[in-house]
Amino acid sequence: MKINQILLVVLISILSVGHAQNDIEYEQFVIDCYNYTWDETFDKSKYDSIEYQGKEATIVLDRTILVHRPKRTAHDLPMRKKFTHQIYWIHEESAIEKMNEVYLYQSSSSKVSKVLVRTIDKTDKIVEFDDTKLENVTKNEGGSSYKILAIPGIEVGSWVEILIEYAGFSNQSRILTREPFDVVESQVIYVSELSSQVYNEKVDPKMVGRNGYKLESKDVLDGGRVRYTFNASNLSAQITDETYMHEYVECPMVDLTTDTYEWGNLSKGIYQNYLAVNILNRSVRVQKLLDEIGVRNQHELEQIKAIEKYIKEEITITEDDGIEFESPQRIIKKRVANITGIISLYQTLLDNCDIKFIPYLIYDKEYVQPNEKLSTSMGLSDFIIYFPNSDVYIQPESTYYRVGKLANYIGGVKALLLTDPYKTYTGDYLITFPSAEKEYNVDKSVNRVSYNEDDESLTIQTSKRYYGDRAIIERGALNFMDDSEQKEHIQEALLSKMENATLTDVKTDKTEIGFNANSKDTVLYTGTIVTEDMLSPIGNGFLLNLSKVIGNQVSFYQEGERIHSVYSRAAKIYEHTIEFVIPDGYKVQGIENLVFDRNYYSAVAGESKHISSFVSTAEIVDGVLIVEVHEFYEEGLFPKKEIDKYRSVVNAAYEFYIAQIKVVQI
Amino acid sequence: MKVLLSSLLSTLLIFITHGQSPMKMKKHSLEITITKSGDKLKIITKETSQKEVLDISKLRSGDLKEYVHWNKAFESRPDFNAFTDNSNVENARKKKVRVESITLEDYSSRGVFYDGTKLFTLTFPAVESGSILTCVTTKEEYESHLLPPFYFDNYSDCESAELTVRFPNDIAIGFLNFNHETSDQIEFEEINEAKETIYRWRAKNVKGLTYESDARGRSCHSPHTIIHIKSYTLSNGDIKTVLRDKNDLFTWYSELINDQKLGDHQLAIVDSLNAISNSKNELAENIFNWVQHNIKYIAYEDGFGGFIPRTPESVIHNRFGDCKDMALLTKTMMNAANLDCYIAWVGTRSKCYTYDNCPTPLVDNHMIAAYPNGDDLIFLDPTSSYSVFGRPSSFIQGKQAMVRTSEGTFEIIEVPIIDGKDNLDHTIINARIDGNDLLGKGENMLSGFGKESYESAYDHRLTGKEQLFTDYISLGNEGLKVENLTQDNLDSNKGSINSKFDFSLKNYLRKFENETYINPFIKDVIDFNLKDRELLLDLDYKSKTLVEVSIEIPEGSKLDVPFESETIAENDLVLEITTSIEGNIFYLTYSFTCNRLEIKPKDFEAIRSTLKKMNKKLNKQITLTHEN
Repeated sequence: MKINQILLVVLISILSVGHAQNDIEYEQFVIDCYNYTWDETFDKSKYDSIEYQGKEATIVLDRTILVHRPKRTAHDLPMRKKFTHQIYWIHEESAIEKMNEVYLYQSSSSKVSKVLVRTIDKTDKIVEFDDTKLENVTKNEGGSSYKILAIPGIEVGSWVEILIEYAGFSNQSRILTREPFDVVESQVIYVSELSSQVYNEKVDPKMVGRNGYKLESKDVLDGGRVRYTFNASNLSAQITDETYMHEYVECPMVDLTTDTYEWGNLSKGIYQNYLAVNILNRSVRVQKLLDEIGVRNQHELEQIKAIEKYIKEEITITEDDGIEFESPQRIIKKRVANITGIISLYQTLLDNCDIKFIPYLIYDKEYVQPNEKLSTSMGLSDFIIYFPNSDVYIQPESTYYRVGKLANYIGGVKALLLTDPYKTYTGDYLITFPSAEKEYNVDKSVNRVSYNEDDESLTIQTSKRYYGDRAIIERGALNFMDDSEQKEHIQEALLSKMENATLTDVKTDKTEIGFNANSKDTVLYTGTIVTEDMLSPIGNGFLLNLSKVIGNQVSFYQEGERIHSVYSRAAKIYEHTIEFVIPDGYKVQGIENLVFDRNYYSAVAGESKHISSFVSTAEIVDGVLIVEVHEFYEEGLFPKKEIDKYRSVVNAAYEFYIAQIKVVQI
Repeated sequence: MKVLLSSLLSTLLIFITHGQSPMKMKKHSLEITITKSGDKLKIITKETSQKEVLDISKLRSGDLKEYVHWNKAFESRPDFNAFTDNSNVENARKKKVRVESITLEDYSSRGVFYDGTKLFTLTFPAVESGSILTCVTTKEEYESHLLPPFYFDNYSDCESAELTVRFPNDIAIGFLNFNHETSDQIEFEEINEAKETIYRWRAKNVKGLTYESDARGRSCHSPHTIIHIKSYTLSNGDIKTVLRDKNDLFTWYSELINDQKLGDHQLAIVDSLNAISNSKNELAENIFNWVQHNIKYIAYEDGFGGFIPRTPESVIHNRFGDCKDMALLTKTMMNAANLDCYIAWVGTRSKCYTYDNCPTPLVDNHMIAAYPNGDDLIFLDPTSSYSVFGRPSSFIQGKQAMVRTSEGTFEIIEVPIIDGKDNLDHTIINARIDGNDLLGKGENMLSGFGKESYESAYDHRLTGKEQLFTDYISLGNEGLKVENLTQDNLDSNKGSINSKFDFSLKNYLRKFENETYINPFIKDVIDFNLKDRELLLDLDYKSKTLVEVSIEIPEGSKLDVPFESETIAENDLVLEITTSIEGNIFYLTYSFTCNRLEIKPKDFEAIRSTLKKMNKKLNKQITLTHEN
């Protein structure tokens, strides 16, 4: 379970439970706010002017309504309901299958409580869905729970209307529009009752609309209610097949939190729930364990390494949220823990060694980073522990990252510092982690190629070298493979995509997972390849695809109109050296085919920044053709109008990969 | 850019979740105990898994878990006896620690929207190097026709695999062994006692499962045994038959299927199709096409819903159904139109059984309709929106179908295999040279199963449908740019998709001083290889790829073609090359015909050699020498 889900359970679950005596009153309140029926006045002709040629379907209405009635007495509980109301217009057969199988995401604090579905065909005949079939039909995928249903009666030209009621919603919600179809009209409405703030719950919400959503109005309604309306219109489909795009960051969304909720509240609340409980101080069992894992009389960094090694190699993580898997004492005995238990165990062992550490929760880089003005738990993903005295990090949930520099894939993310509410803290709660460095993510190869005239083949002395973050990932992958899988993996790394090739003399160095702990060591694979794959015989010699030794390169030439910004996912360097020993009696032609110099500069904050580059050189020195390649990418999101510049560098690598030289007898 | 970090991470995840375990499988066994309670059978299965941890530091997150599937429609909620045994671990604090963490969640296998299956996950506690992790799962099987098969191999090498069946002597039990020849260690013994009989199979040191893409299902290569109850004696002395042979299987299936009638609304649809049809065959085709295009396939089954079709009326109302729903609907609509039509059970090519060698429900996993046309039987699979009337779907070719010819009769008929020439991918390229690029016009005619898969991919593509054609046509290299694409016949279930386009291939030519080299075999025609392959390769369908290329020779250039017209025909693979020069045009026609549906491991060596020979021919370059 991701930490965000856990948080929602802890923070919200009690809020979504209603007392029976208030149900009737509350139902009336909800009905007043949102009449849970079809829009009988729905007028299809309103959409006659929409251009839908070439589109599979259009969402003409995408509305979310959050209804909140705060507690009215000291013994009362607040009540919440969320409604979503969508109307789809189906234009092509291919959209029918997508619409037939519907997954309704639900969290433990916001479960689907009612569903109305109807399909209106071209002749206005209505097919209604029987929601009794929804009983217990749920699916769990990727740690998320979905109510699933198959919508009946859809044809080309049909309109499908879906109305869903959720019991409860979080104080910190994100309404995010991410659909495979264009959306004509989108709306997020929050309705709340302001009359009972005396009971210590400030209900005035703080909301931010992003990527198209704008606050349309804030209305005071009868009965002391307030209504916020955010609108967006003519939104492009966000689920597409585009490459080099970020899946979420450009989605239209509205974030919600309560008015007085600041980063400090979030930080302290999480600390209270996770880090202020279950700590074993100076217990005999813990002391004995610390003796066993050898942390006594060690420097701090060695102590951290030993504690991390013990937890990552001896404790099994379970999805079970039972409290028995959260107690350090029990975890030490049974060696099974859920993520809360893992964090408690770290804290227990570190505290008992008097090691100073700062716990953080980070926002998922592949999801959405928070708006600094609006404190939210939405998007929080993993715990990170920072050790200021040693200036190193631990990722408790990663089995292959070990104590050391911050992993590149979380470089530059926002992180929430977790603080003890009973201690004074005056710094920032939301910080930005150091950016990923391309110099810490390097992939190198060195190849010496010679021609065997007897059998018209090539012999390649090849080596792959991985540095920094790239080495850590490689070791992580190897650590979880058995011998035969390791062999196959290393073969693939060395052979790249060569079809007819034999590989011998394979050697490896510094591949054990232990090297991942604060190490700058390089993973090294070497081997000897014999192949005919890179040769095409011609009259008096051969064409040589020498650059194939660097491994398969991607390209993207053809793509329609760009919808999203260009997302360069990882900061990365590739370096290759290729030496070709020119056989006696032969000469080489066309080495200029191997020379490239392509660079992409983008204007970032008014400054021209070098984002990516592919530069290769070729020269003949003492009968050896030496080719050097230097390629790099910075990470980040860049304007879509610059797609061709980015594409040019990516394709340079591909063009280099397919380039050929001619080797002929003199 | 070579490999993005994310793809590496996802690779890592695959290793974590699907790779072989660093642990040793010590034992896996299944014990099936069949008893009688009055005139009813009681079937208890006890499955045991025992793994030894070799090196705790290399364990993956999934290694310390046991996964157990459960479907309440067919079996009782499982009882677990799961524990970590640390008897062999030095200084272990406790020798036996029971599993306490057991979670339950919904589970769906690939391609199934819903079938009611759930998944238990058990997490072993107190594990150290040397621990033995044991899980014993006991369940009652409710349905005597659905006993679980036992596979002797497992996800990793296994020291001991054992299947035991105990049953009273008045119950007749059959067993079916498959692929036992691949594991010479499997031993069988039969123990006859006064009141009961015990069958036992034991295997030692069984090699772990091999995974390869485009292989057929596990039943085709893993050693396994299927137990079936043939019959048993009732208290009054009568014999109750269960699954003796395919006749009993048909009888059981028939109990789950009832012929249906259509309501007025559905009959109106049949009438409207009748009105536009000029012959019986045309009407049959129109009904088939109507079901194909108006009912969407959703594998939405729950328990016995996996065996019992919904009524045609509800399927038309819903506009969706699974294979049984669509097959029964097709048959019912045809019958309503006074056309003969049958339903038929069939196993897809992922299964390697026949109704004779495996007369149990494990033999099949699909249902289709069958329409008699004179002496021929036309197999109709409406789950594919793209399949052509008169042709089966590709994944049931060559398989036996159990055709229900009436309420009480059936015939076993083999589904035909479509010839390679009827799955033709024909490309015509007229090219000219422009600097280092090759430019020109192209045409492509795609028919048969190739057309069906293209249409499916086209419909499921979210954006960039033009890119789909570029990826599919795959000319030259990735520098291919396709423009002005027009495509006809994409929505029709007949003929071929006809595509016309302009193309450019950037940097396709290799220029060196006064010579230019061109690989004229511009389109790949061999789309499989056998590199490092161990398991049978399933090719989906027989096919033919034909390419006609013409290249304008620039003025002042001399052309050298270092190959001649030639045919290589070996092992049901044919490569034909013809070449000529007329005026200033170089002509090349080449085709690759694969008259195979599959390649068995015993043929790998011969076919590797044939492919090597053919690929060498297709790697030839023509040379243009410029006079200046």
